[in-house]
Amino acid sequence: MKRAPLALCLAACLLAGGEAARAAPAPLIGIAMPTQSAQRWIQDGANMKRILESRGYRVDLQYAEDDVQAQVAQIEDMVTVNVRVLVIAPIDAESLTNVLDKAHAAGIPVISYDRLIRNSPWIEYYVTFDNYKVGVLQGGYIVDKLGLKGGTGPFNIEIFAGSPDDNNAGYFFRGAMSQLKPYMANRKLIVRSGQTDFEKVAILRWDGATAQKRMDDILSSRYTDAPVDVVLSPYDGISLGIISALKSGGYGRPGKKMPLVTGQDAELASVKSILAGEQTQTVFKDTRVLARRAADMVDAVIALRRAEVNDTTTYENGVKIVPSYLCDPINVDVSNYKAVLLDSGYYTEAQLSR
Amino acid sequence: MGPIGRMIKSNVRQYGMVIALGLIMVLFQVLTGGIMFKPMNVTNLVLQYSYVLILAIGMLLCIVTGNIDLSVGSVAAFIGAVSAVMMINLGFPVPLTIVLALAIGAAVGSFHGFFIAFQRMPAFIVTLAGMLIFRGLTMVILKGQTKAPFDKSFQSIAAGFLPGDGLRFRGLNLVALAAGILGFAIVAAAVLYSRRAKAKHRLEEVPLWADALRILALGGVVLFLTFEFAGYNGLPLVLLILVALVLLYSYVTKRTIAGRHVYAMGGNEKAARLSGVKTERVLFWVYVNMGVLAALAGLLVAGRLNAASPKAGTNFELDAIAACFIGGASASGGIGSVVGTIVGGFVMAVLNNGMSIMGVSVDWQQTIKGLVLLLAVWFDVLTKRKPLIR
Repeated sequence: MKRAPLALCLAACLLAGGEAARAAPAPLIGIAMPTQSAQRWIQDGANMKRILESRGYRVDLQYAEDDVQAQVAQIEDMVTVNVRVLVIAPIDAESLTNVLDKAHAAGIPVISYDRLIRNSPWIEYYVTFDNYKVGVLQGGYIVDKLGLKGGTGPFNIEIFAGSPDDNNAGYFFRGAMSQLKPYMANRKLIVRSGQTDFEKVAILRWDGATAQKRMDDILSSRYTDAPVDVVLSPYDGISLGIISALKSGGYGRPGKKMPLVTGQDAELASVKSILAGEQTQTVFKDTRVLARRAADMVDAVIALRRAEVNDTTTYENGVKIVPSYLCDPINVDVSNYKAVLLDSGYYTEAQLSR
Repeated sequence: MGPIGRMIKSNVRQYGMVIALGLIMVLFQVLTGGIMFKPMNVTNLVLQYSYVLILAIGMLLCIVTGNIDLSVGSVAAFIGAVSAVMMINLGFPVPLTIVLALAIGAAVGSFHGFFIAFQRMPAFIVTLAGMLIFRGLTMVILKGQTKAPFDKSFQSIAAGFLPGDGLRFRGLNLVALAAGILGFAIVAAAVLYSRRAKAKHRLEEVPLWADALRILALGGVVLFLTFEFAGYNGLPLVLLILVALVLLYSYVTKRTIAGRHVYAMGGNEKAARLSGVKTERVLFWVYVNMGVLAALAGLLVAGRLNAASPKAGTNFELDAIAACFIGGASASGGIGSVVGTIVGGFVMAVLNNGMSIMGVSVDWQQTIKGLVLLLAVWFDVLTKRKPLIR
């Protein structure tokens, strides 16, 4: 039999895994994360694993590469091995209803992480950043920096939003627009492309290259006779594409000032871009804080006490209002990056200079 | 039927697609209120879609052999990631990085080629595996991060222009204009040369006015395009790369033994093998070639975005495959041309660009592109169903 060695090896691997599981009796926590193709989820997962393990738990951390079916299968497997608590950052917030019924039937409590799981009554807690506030910070930064409250203007602005299939993208967009709308109404902010609807400005999969193309096209069609002054971008990866388009459109050279460009997540590449005077702002969400809050909730659920929450009214998931803890996002630009990113140990000086 | 009728009939597919491309461009010129043909937009079109065209050239060879390569998007992302690590983390100079990246591309291609050609595994399976492997390795290398920024010289390969922008005449870039006139002369010379060659071999001639028309049409397009580039920043560097590749691969596929072997193999593998074509070797090199071109595309994509991102290259393979089929390649192998593929690529590019300017939302963009692909291939099937007199 040609296949025997492979089969043997597989069996051996399985046995070895089973052995290890039996040797350690500490409660097992299942963590289901969306993807490893964004820095933040890798950090989220790693932070939570580290914190939970330091508190004496074992951790089963899995990524599903943005494939909904794969995530459902992973959660089913976690239910099968009987984890004590599930912490889930859903890929598709709507599609976990059935698998969470199974989790509930097996007596496993669920914590929804960063993105709210919808249409399931079995969510104990929700921990997230205040996503609406992220948008408010981005929009508010534009209003402050341009001095719109003092009656300056008009300025030309273009608007970008996140992926249309991500629940959070809408919160960011609405938050930012809540700040900008009044000035668009009195024509202090002018969108020359006329594209202001979420569907038209959304960038599928938060892809920088797609954003670059859109910005290219807008520049060549609407800004040949006047410069663009501001670009609202919801996320650093998108900002990166926008800035590349602006640069090939001649911005950032003498006589053609780089517009104000916002962002989110304080990704390394974008912090470097801020230091180089290209991107203007980003919103920092300290995922270490989020991971610690999630770990606190795990502790509380296992000890059968109530976890600390600060919002019990806003986050309705279609079935119930989920008690939530909202962490605070922070504005970062060249004036405060040292205090926020370096002093907190999120990045080191060496990382930024390389 | 006269010689002109025969010329048109035997090229109906090619001409049909060129005419369709022209019509689509004019349509968007009207719909976008004159923005389509603005110099800046024509320049953007080339910068935005050069990578698809480069991939499509390699993909064409795979398709002509009757196979496919699904891994090109992942390989492009992988090469972008590797070159980012080499330049940003290891501090390699740009030229060295480019050479190494292309070499790695060749290695990836020979990895695929080994299994497809020598182990006789279906290309679909091998490159599907490659798609997963190299997307995975991209994530391993980047750890979810976007790596940026790159050296200026690296960015300019993908986003830069020929120097000499100071030389302008009435706001037009002289270098680009000169290139346009040179291009026109080359087109004219090529048409006249092939006319002389035909006369020498006593092949049927088309009347002189038909060839004159051909020169005017082809040369006119060249002049028009260079005029457009002259009105903006001049000739994009990536355009020169693209033109060089198109000429090289047109020549290789039409005039060299190796190129004809590819077609012979795609047309009828058994017959080709019995005629002494080393089909395994041909197939192997087709995939090595694809790997190198995918690497080149990966470098250009990273350079243009000025970042290596783990999401780069998603769906590139589909764009490249669509370009080949819209451009008249046959899924059963043996048929397809480099020029046709480029035209097919531009049909997709113009659709994307035009709809994006009009602010059509992503969902409808995808729907429309899908319909165009379907219609183009349907047209192909219909024109082939009636046997042509050759």
